Parts: sequence; C-alpha cells; structure tokens
Amino acid sequence: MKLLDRSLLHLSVALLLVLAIWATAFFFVMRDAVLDSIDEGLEEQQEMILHRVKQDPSVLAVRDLGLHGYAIKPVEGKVKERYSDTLLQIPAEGKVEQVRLMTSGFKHGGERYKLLVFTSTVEEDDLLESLLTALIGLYVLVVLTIIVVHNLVLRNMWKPFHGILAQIQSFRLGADQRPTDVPTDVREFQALRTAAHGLMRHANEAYANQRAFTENAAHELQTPLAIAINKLELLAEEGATEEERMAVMGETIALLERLTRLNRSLLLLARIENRQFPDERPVQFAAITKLVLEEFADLATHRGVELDLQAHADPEHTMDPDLARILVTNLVKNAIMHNVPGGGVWVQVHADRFSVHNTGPEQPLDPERIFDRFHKETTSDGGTGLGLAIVKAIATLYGFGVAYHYDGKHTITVTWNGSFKGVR
Amino acid sequence: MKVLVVEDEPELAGVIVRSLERERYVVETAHDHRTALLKITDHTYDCILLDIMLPGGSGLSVLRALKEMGRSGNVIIISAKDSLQDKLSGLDMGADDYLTKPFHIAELNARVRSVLRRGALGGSNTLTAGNLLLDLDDRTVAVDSTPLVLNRKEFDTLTYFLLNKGRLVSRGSLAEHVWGDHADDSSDLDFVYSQIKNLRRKLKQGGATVEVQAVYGIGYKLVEA
Repeated sequence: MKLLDRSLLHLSVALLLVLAIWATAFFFVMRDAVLDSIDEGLEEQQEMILHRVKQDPSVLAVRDLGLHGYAIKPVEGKVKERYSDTLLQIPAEGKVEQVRLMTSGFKHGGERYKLLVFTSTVEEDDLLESLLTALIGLYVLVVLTIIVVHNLVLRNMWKPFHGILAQIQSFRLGADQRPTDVPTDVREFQALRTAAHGLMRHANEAYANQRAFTENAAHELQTPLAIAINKLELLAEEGATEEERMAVMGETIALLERLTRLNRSLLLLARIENRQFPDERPVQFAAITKLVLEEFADLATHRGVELDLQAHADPEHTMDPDLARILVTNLVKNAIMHNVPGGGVWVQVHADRFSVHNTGPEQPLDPERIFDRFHKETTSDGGTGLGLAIVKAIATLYGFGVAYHYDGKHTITVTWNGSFKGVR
Repeated sequence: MKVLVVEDEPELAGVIVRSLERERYVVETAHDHRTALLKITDHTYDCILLDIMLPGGSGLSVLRALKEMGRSGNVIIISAKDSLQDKLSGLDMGADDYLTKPFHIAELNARVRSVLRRGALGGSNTLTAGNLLLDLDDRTVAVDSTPLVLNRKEFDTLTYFLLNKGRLVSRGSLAEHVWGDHADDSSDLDFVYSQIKNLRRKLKQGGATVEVQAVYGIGYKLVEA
C-alpha cells in the first residue's frame, strides 16, 4: 500500500468519526433549540387561552383537543406544568401526528382546571434524515478534496524522496559515481539526502580502503613467497656447497617466519576490528610499560639504543590486557627499530596520556599516513608495516586518541580520553 | 614413550612424526575424528597432540572423551585458530598445553618433553647433558655439582637447548621462546647472538662438557662434547 493511500485511508476514517460525533452533537443541540422555541409558542398560546377564559367562561367547556388545539378539564388537585411529546389524531388532517403537548393547571371561580395545549412539532425522523444527507454530502466532498490535493500537491512534494530513493537503488559499491544533487527545501528530505549521500560516500571510502588493504596484503604475501620458492629452486640445483645450502635454508626460514608474523598481525587486526577481545580487566599502564621495557632491554642494548621510562602516574584502564601489552610493545618496538645507534627511546606515562619519544632519521614522517596499514618509510627493515596500524586499531577500539609529531625527536602520543590536538 | 598425533593435514602430521621419531618415541597417527576416538579407547599414550579442527568432528570432543577416562592431562592442543575461547575450553577440559599453528619444531619438541617428563612417575624435574644438570623447579644449573650462575634469559635459553638436545634450534624459535612473542617481529634477530655468546662463555668457564654450536644462517644446536 502506498504511503499516499495509507494517509488517505487514515484521514477518511478519522474524518468519518469526527463528522459522526459532530453530527450527533449538532442534532441534539438543534432539536433542543427547536423545542425551546416551540415551548415558548405553547406558553404564549396558554396565556391567550387563560385570558379568553376570563372574558368568556364558555371556553371552559372545550374538551376536544384535536379539534380546537386545546382542551380544558376540571380536576381535583393541583396540576404541575410540563411539556411532552406525544402522538395525536388530528381530525382536520385525518392522520396521527407527532405533537408537542403542554399541560398546566389554573383556577377559575374557585374551581381547579387542567389546560392542555398542543402544536405540531418537528419530526425527529425528518430532522435526522436531512442531517444525514447533508453529512454524507459533506464527507464525500471533503474526501474528494483530500484525494485531489494529495494527488496534485503531495505527489509533487514527494518528488525529492523518489529522486533520493532512485539514487540509493542505483548505488553500486566501488562504481565511484558522485550522487547528483536532489534539490529540496523540505527539512526532512534535506536530512534524508545528507544521510543517504554520507552513507554512500562512507561505503565507497570503506570499500576503497578494503580493496587497497587486500591488494597490499596480497602483495606483501606474494613477495616473500616468490623469494622463498626461488631460493628453494636454487637449493635443488646441484653444485652448492654445504655452507651455501645452509645459508639459503636459513634465509628461507627467515622469509617464512616473516610471512608468519605478517599473517599473525593481519589476524590480530581482524580480531580487533571484529571486537573479539571480550576479556576486559583493569590494566595499569606504568606496570605494563615497565615489563615491556624489560623485555626489550636486550634488543635495545644490541642496537645501541638507550631505553628510559618516566612514570609520572599509573593510569588504569579497563581493557584487554593482551591488547594493552601489544599497544605498548608495538610503540616501543617501533621506536627501537627506527632508531639510530647511540640514540634513545624515552617513554613517559602520565595520568592523561602515554608517549614514546625516539631519535631516528632527522626528518618528520607523514603524520597522515604513519598509522596506515602497510605504510613503510623504509623497505629494508623487514617489519610488517602493521605495527602502528594495530596501535591505531586498539586505540580506536577503546576510544583513545593517537597522534604523531616531530620536533627533532619522533613522538607518538596516546591520549586516554581521545581529545588531543593533532589526533586523526 | 608412546605419542599419538591427531592431525588431519598429512604434510604437517608427517613432519611432526618424523621429528618425534628422531627423539626415539613410538609415534602413531590419526587423521580423523573417528580414528582418534578408536585409538584413545584402545590404547594409552604418554602424550597426545590434538588438532581441534578434524574431519568428522571437533578435537574438543576427543578431549572430552579423554577427560571422562581421566586421561586428558597429557594432551597438547595444536590449533590453527588462535581463539581464546578454544584455548580456555581446551585447558578447562584438562589439556596440558595449547600451541597455535604455525609453530617451530623445537617449540613442539620442548612442550612434548615437558609433558612426558611430568608424566613420568617419580621423575625428577631435571634435565641433563654431559656433566650439566639443570633443575627446573629450583631454576639452578650445576656443572659436576658446582653451581653455575646464569641470568633469567640465559637459564631459559639453556633450558630450551636442553629440551632440544642435539636438535637444530632456529633463532626465530629461540627468540620467541625466551623473549616472548614480540621478539620475533624484529627481523633483526642478531641480538640473540649476544646472549648465546655470554652463555657459551659461562659454560666454558664452568667446564661444562656441552657446547652450543652455530648452524650457519639458521640457528644453534647443543651437543655433548
């Protein structure tokens, strides 16, 4: 059922109800007004008759109500004044008619009399019938008007809606068509248009990102696979010394280990983004950082990099302990790996943030791309290019902010409440 | 020592079997759920390597059957799924360990050895090679009953070598075992070398009759001199 028809149906039912109630009320008000005016007439008639009785006592003998329009009867007790509707045989018209009858009492010459006066009244059947006819006429007219207005005006008013709908229906992921503007000054349609276009843009962006990610991942997997196969092919050829063969095997193992790391990182990213870390506990960051730095001590010494921790506070956050460790580990590892001999890594834990500063190549990195998956400044380090992307994903999962800046040292700051200038 | 390998991938099962046979264990294999259930009802094993995803059913139900027989303590789960849920339910059902694929042969070897050692009745918790005696409970090492002082990483490294006596231990495997998961992410594993250098020096100074040999380009091997 179309929206147009549905609103029409609802309106028709509502109108029918309103009109019925209105007609009922109108009928009773109308009838009371008519009766009031009839009763007034009867009262005047009664006064005239009483006046006549005083002048001409023979009137007291009028008994036939139908013939004279009034009747007088002597009675014993007092008669209460009242009005009533009744049926009466009218000899002049020769039929039974509905009449309004006034009953009252009066005294004349010491005797009590009852006076009956009648007049013909409005017939309720007739009143009801005319009212119903008028009502049906009105109802039909109103509904017809609504149908016409709906079709002429509303159909036109809904045009932007159908335009936006058509755009959504023809939307294809990755087709990269910019939705044309649908002009409308109706606020609801403007909101719908904004929402629909925003959704299409987001879907396209997400799709493009996903596609780039898949291509990158495939490429990252492809290269070590190709090298490993070629190395093994070399190994299969004769003529290599034992030492050469061991070297090739060692390199192949290293390549496959790199693939393993890459695969693990990809799985980890997917699990973070699918929120598959339900185990949340309070985690103390200063304590975790201390442990991580201890684990890295050997690597740092080997690389000639000094490690330093300054814990000004021990902020506690409810999160997955493994993810907290991975967050800190990846940042520290990144700082050690992209460093220079004789350089340093300075880790600071504050109540509102966690930051890692390190020496390294003396030029700023691209703060827009540094957290992108597979973004690498150097190609030779053998890293997966996912370490900081994982940091970003964990930060996003828990609503932390993460930002990079360079002032002679490379600094990555994680802010717990997410608000820190420069946060992407 | 009898070991059962429940693994549906024949290549992987083959590699595991060959490695275990080199340790002179009696190794049997089951490639599917039904065979695994039959084997565990008919025989008793000192150690069972159990894959979770099997044709015909879940390895967890094999584990449940073992638990009902009161024999789930010597099971090492090997799974491709690094799923916390699987790990928890596996360990809940009494499994001894959980190993995520892919793993290093040396790591598997070490885990199997610790399961077997724990299972051996009245077995002392020590490892020996030559005149070297390593006590896992006290975390002490002695050469001909003279104590040898090692730091934590050196002790862990030596333990790993002793669990893989005479076997190749790749640098990646050693780094992952001793320095934790994060260490393997640095392609530069040369820092392992400085640890090995220290360990070799201490072993030599202490007069141990074992030697950590370099396997060119791949890793190391502990041999009795």
